[in-house]
Amino acid sequence: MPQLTVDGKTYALGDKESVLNCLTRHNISIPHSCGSGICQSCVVRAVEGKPTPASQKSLKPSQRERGVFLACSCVPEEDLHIQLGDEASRTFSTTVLSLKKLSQDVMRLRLNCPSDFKYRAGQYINLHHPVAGTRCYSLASVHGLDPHLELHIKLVPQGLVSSWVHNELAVGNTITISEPLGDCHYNPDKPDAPMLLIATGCGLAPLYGIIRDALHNQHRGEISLYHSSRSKTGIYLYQDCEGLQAKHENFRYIPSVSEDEKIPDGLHAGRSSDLALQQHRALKDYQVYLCGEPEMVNTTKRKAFLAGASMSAIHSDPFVYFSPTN
Amino acid sequence: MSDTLYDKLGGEAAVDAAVDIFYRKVLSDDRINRFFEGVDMDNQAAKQKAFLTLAFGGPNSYSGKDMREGHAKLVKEQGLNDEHFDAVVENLGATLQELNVPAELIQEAAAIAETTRADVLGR
Ligand SMILES: Cc1cc2nc3c(=O)[nH]c(=O)nc-3n(C[C@H](O)[C@H](O)[C@H](O)COP(=O)(O)OP(=O)(O)OC[C@H]3O[C@@H](n4cnc5c(N)ncnc54)[C@H](O)[C@@H]3O)c2cc1C
Ligand code: HEM
Repeated sequence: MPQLTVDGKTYALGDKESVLNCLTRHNISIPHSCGSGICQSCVVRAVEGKPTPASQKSLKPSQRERGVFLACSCVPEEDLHIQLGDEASRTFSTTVLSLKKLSQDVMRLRLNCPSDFKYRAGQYINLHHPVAGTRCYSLASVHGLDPHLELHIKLVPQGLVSSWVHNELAVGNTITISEPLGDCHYNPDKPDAPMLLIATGCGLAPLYGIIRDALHNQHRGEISLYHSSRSKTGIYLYQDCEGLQAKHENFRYIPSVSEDEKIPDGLHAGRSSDLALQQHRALKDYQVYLCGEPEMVNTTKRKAFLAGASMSAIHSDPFVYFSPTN
Repeated sequence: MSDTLYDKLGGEAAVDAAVDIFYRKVLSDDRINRFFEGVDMDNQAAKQKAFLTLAFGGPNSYSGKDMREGHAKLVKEQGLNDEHFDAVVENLGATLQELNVPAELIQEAAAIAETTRADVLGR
């Protein structure tokens, strides 16, 4: 088994053990959050030895060259000598501009946009909580169109960070966020491609940003948004999406609920992914966007691919969360 | 020096064109798709690319030993056998046909894949 050297001490890695698990097992604590290679909070740097490609694939080329990698995603194939700290993504300090409930369990959080914060709608940031660590939230605002940053945060039962945002955060508070991450955003090189966007829950946040970005860029292809929630209380921004639909001929909005017995007026029955794939059977040349529940995102990705979408045209953010039991 | 099959097919661009088609065929083929049920499709697609580069005789860093080790678990735990191997080669051929690759080049690719049979099946 390969060995891991940190701060002059060497540890034997267990079978299939990640660097993060090995550190945790030896009571060496480093920041981490999603445990799935997405939030990038567990970045460390290899000073000797090569980290695995999987642990570097979402990082910037400049980071990769310096040996930076994600501790949670690296099951080393050779001995590694690593250094902790300093490699975390850049952070920004910002203030809360407003908090507004968009539905029973979704809070819209608007933040001051720091002057050198460059992003594309649909990317996500890590929001720092004073004790619970960081959580990822997607950017629903559009750079160049909105002066602020906008996040949509769903209240998770017993959720540390989401309930803090819902119940404690107040206008004027200062909070820390990371630089924008991820590459789920509008692609201005394909102005005529049909776009199929599928969300569950707060998966609408990145997609709402991407759609406004596309329309702002005068996208010419057809844009179809499918948004579903278990019950109607999870359908938010209904008026805003309807408004966009009235204003833009190439935009279609199909909101639905999957578990309510009685379907309210204006909503459809079923899951967004099912409705979308029923109504769009051949996806060659489509740009496909999938955000929300990991299970929906992963199965739909596969189905969209089999329906003809190219792997490189499927953009997705599964909202994975850390579960202490797995 | 004469061109390798990889050059004749069009190098990396040809592999990129073939990846989507090949991977889609494999996932739709009930004889073998259970081997490719990986959750992370991007990772799986990268591996298909490695496979195609190899089958096209392109630059790759896999040895016979790597092929043996890479598939050993599939042989032991999931019963990977000749039938599955043939199915993969068949999908490779169908992919190249779809891309209008001439028959003799398809045969060359199949022959390269064939050289890995013993290692892939752990014999
Ligand atoms: C790329 C990315 C983008 C994201 N974007 C958004 C966004 O725009 N809006 C948004 O609201 N969230 C988003 N999330 C999810 C978010 O990061 C947090 O996971 C979520 O807010 C829960 O954090 P918490 O601190 O409130 O709960 P925690 O304290 O982390 O969790 C409390 C308990 O609930 C469980 N749990 C957490 N989430 C769920 C869930 N969804 N379903 C069932 N059980 C759960 C946990 O396992 C734990 O047991 C995103 C995640 C990722 C990876
Ligand atoms: C025809 C000859 C074959 C060649 C040349 C070949 C080549 C490869 C290569 C290069 C990889 C990538 C290894 C890596 O980078 O991790 C790979 C992985 C894989 N191969 Fe093959 N392969 C062949 C046949 C098969 C067959 C017949 C099956 C099953 C039907 C199969 C199933 C797999 C699977 C499931 C993986 C991924 C394993 C993982 O996820 O770690 N291969 N193969």
